[in-house]
Amino acid sequence: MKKILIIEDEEIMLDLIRRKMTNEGYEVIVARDGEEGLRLIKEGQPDLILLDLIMPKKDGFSVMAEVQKNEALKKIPIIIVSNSGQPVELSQARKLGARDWLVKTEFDPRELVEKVKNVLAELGE
Amino acid sequence: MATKEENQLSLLLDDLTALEEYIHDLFNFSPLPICFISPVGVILEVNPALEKASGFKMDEIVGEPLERVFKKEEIGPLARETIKEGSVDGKELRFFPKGGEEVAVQVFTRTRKDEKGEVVGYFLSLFDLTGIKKTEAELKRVQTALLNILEDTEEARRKAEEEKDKTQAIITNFTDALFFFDKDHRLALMNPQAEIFFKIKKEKVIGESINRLYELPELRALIEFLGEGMKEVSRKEFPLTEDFILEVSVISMKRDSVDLGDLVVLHDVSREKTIERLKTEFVSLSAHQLRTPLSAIKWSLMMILDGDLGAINKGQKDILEKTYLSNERMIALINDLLNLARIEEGKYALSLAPADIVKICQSIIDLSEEPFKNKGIKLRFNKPAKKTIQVLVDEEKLKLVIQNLLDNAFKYTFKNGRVSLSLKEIDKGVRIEVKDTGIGIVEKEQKRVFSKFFRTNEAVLVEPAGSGLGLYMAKNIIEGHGGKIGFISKVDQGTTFYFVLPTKS
Amino acid sequence: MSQLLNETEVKRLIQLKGEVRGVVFKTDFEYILNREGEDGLEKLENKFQEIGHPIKYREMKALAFYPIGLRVISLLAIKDIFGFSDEEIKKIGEAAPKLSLVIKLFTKYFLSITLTARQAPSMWGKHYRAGKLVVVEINEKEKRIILSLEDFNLHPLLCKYLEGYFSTVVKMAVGKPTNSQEIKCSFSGGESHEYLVSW
Repeated sequence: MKKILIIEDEEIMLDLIRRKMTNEGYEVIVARDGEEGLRLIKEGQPDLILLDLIMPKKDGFSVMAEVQKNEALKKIPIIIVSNSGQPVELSQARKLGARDWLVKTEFDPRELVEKVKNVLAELGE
Repeated sequence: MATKEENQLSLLLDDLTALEEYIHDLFNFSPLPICFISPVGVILEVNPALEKASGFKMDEIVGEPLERVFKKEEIGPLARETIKEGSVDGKELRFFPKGGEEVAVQVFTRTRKDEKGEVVGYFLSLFDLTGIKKTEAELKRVQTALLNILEDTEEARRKAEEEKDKTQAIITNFTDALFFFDKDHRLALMNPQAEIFFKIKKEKVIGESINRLYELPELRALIEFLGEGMKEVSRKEFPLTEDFILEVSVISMKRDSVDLGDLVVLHDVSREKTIERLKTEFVSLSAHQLRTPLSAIKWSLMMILDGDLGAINKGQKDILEKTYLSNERMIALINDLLNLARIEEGKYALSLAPADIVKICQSIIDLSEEPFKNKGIKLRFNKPAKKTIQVLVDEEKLKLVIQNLLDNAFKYTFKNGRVSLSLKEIDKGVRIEVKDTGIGIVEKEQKRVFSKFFRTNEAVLVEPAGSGLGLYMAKNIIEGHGGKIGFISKVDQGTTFYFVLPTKS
Repeated sequence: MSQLLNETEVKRLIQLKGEVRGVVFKTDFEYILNREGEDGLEKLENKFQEIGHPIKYREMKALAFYPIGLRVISLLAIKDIFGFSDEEIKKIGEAAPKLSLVIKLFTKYFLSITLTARQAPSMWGKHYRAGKLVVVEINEKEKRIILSLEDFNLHPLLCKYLEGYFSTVVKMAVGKPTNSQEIKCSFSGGESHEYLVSW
């Protein structure tokens, strides 16, 4: 069973995504801010990270930056799940290692599941 | 007779003759008409000048009464006065020469008296006033004309003064800063507001050349901005400092193709810019903040509807579906508002970069193929002759425009309809057309089509979800690029939206 | 050669008793000058030269006295050279007072015809030392005057001349057009020459 780490500060979104992923048969761990998220990446060793960008304590970009420094950690695929959709942010995220991007108002839970499946498949699972 | 007497007589005779000749010569010489009149008003003698003036030969006029050449009622009183007073000096009378028109003359008379003091007659001389009268009349005419001219000049001068005062008042009190450079690019004028903006006294700079002004720290930035050629610009932004932003317009003043100079107007838009920025930030922030709960609602509803949270009954499903749609509309509106805020901000700061317009159009067509096919609408891309066309544009924003036009075509065209996107290169630019065979736009609504939040009733019926911001945004973006947008539409026949872009914005 | 001015006639005329003021020649000559120009004047002057009494228009003295016969010769010469009719001669007479300096000396009397008429003998005397001019009748109401010239029988041509002359003098006094006529003539049996001038 694949382990997914959700780093999201919005409680309801966190709840919904966790439920969906669980229903799909994934193991889910959650963090509510960037700091906790980083800790869980190191400790939890997830197979995939669903990362929000705008968060207290440490935002998504900082998390990615940190992850990039770590040879082992940067292998973990990251999908950005955010509210904004600025191209500037997108290209920056890409540079920092994000595999895919999802704007919450434009995508729905089903599509998220699709993306997760695709990314995990890409890794040759 | 004694010789002595004879001699004396002879001498006297000689003297008399000499005298006679002298008088005769004098009389004949006089260019002034002179005559001698008897006390009863008969002309007894005339000189050649009088002959000439009267047109009568001497033998025609001697023995004639004065009434021959004067009016009785005028000459009578004159004669009487002459005899009474002894002379008349310069009375104006009418003179009637033979066969000619009456002439205005000035008459002078002087009586001759005998040893007893009896008047034996009088000399009469006249002075033709025609010349003088003509001159007088001419003078008067000239005088009147001059006075008129003077009056007009005075009037004009007064008006000019007024205008000057008005202009001066305007310039002095103008809340924008004004600089005027003469045709040699020397600073000729600077108003008080300019002094305040640039913190420099005009005495220091009036008359100086651009090069000299460039050396002054207060004006360097401005001169750099204006450039040496002082090209005409309209409302270009010039940040004097971070918080002090001016809108600069340079107007080349010409009159009858004579170059008078350049007027530089600087309008303080700092406040406006700040407000604009705050507004945009506010909208951005609000939109962002609004999106967060909306996406949460969207996902929640979706999951419930999918049964991820347990089974739901039909009634619940119905309501939740409607709620979902409603939420989608909200999301769309927020998206549009967010874009709008960015667009309005972007009007002043489009990030232009070279791009291939053909590729841009193609990418949008590619994305749109499936939905169109699913709805049963034929979509066509009329490509230009050239494979690539380079344009200087903000690609992201331009895509929004084309997407918006295609979206509209999609929304308002029914199954079996046709939509085409045409791209054509034109003189100094490109022209893009999106043509559909859809519902069209009612004529009386057409002028409001580009207004904010505007949607026609027909549009709302066909597609309830729509913010009414799309075309407003499109217009902003296209005009921000220096282009023009427009449309032709007929109800139930279809609409063609078009815009042109200059290849170099 | 003319019938009027043959040598005999000239001789006879020169012998006539009396004198005349140069002014009469002046007026004759001036008339000719005006009428016939310098050429005419020259012809006339030459005539006088011919008969041995040269008178030059510009040199002669108006107030000097000359043989009265020359006066007649002058008119005859004019008639001869220029072929003037008698009416023309009258015209010369009409012009003369207007040109005459002597007349000018009398203009103070031109207040009224009566006054003028009273001066008539004096005026005559100033011109001619021969003959006597008297006023026979003056009728201001009926506007006429009759002048009588006695002892003056030089030549019939003068009668016409004088007709014109008196006409103008009266005119100068009254300021109205005048008519003049010789009503009695010595050459046709009268005692004197009588001139009726009316206006």
